[in-house]
Amino acid sequence: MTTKIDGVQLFKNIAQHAELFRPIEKDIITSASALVGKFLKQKNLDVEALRSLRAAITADVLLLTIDGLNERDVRTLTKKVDKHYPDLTEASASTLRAHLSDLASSAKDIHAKPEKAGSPKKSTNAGKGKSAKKLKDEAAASWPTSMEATPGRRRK
Amino acid sequence: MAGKVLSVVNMKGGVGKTSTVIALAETLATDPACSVLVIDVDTQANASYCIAGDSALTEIIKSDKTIDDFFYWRLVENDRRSIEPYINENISLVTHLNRPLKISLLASSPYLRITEREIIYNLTTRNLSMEAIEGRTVNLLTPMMDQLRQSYDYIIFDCAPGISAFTTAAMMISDHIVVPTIPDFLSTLGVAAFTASILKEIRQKRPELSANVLIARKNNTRHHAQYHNIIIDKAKLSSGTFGVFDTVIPESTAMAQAMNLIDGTYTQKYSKLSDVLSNLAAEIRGLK
Ligand SMILES: Nc1ncnc2c1ncn2[C@@H]1O[C@H](COP(=O)(O)OP(=O)(O)OP(=O)(O)O)[C@@H](O)[C@H]1O
Ligand SMILES: [Mg+2]
Repeated sequence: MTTKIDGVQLFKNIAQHAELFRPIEKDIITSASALVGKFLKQKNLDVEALRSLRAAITADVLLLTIDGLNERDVRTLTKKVDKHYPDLTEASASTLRAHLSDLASSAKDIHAKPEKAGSPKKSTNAGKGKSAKKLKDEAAASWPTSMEATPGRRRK
Repeated sequence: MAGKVLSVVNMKGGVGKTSTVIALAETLATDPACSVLVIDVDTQANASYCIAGDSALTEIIKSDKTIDDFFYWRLVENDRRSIEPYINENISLVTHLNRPLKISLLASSPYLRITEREIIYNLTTRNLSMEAIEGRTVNLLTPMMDQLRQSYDYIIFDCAPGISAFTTAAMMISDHIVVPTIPDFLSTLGVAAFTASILKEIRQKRPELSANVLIARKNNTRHHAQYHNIIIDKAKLSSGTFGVFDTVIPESTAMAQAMNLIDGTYTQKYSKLSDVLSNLAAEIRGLK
């Protein structure tokens, strides 16, 4: 008697009987996508694993998955697979998404470890509670200045 | 290329017109072959903001590259300038599969309200009636649209609540009208008034104009289910005055939040709604 489900075999069986599962197709998408998401969140994920994942699930599905990650997850993933990516904090999320996709397709390779020059910058207290100034900056950033802008013709 | 022109209209405010314009433009543009132009004719400039973002829109307004400036010069000053310099080509920062969406914008500004009054004041003192003012706007826009249809697959007008001269003009030059509505009592009153008065009036000049109601912000209450059915029944009885899209946009916080994500990915913005939106896009593509 079996007492344990063989997950991989179960997936194979479900895939072979896709018609049977058609009524809950949405749940299949959710579960399958969650697995891919979990795969990307593995602690020891490296660029080779990313490339194998792409080969396994197709380039488009990997791109869609990367598109679905939020900015923080995109940074974490980049840091994991490309440890020496320069100025990770400054790069935009879309730059990093493009980079991840290039790494996965082998169009690019990971960055080499930089030569040590001086002492590395230590991030000061980042993310540990917001200073009053930071809060003020964020409030300013979210208040729409465009709604207060005056057209040139009316400034004359 | 001969692009389709859509106007998203409803006299009633807050029913989801702008959200429909943005979500539809972005969904259509996930097809790499598809380019979309959004024309904002609402003085709230919500669509302009959602596409350009705050800093780009500030620059657009300060440098007079908005639709109210164009209307001012063409209608009040009889200047002959062309529309091209006013269009912000491929301004969207939203990406899909590492590719920016091809969405261009003819932006509005809060000054459209003042400009509209200036235009009306100026033209009425030249003894033109309101109808003549609308006629002039249509005459200005018609050749312009013929030209823009060559460059974009879809041109979508985001119209203001209430019905301004600009909204009427936009409807007059459109192929299709999309009327988002919440399936509740007061919003249905609004649709009834819109189809009975404004749509009828425009149909006299444009009998072939298609109009479809889009049920938006629908929740799971019986009240919404009931009014959804009432609208479908009325459409069937209206002998072609208006139809109802099969797609329904559900009430969803994700939709409200998506409007504020100026530079994310399409998947981030709409992951929970992507099925609904691709169905809507398919219905729009299928409009004759
Ligand atoms: N499907 C939805 N689910 C939840 N909230 C929504 C949905 N669609 C729109 N909203 C919210 O409802 C409000 C009105 O939406 P929107 O601005 O799109 O309507 P509108 O018809 O363009 O309004 P106006 O008449 O002022 O131009 C906004 O706060 C928006 O975020
Ligand atoms: Mg609006």
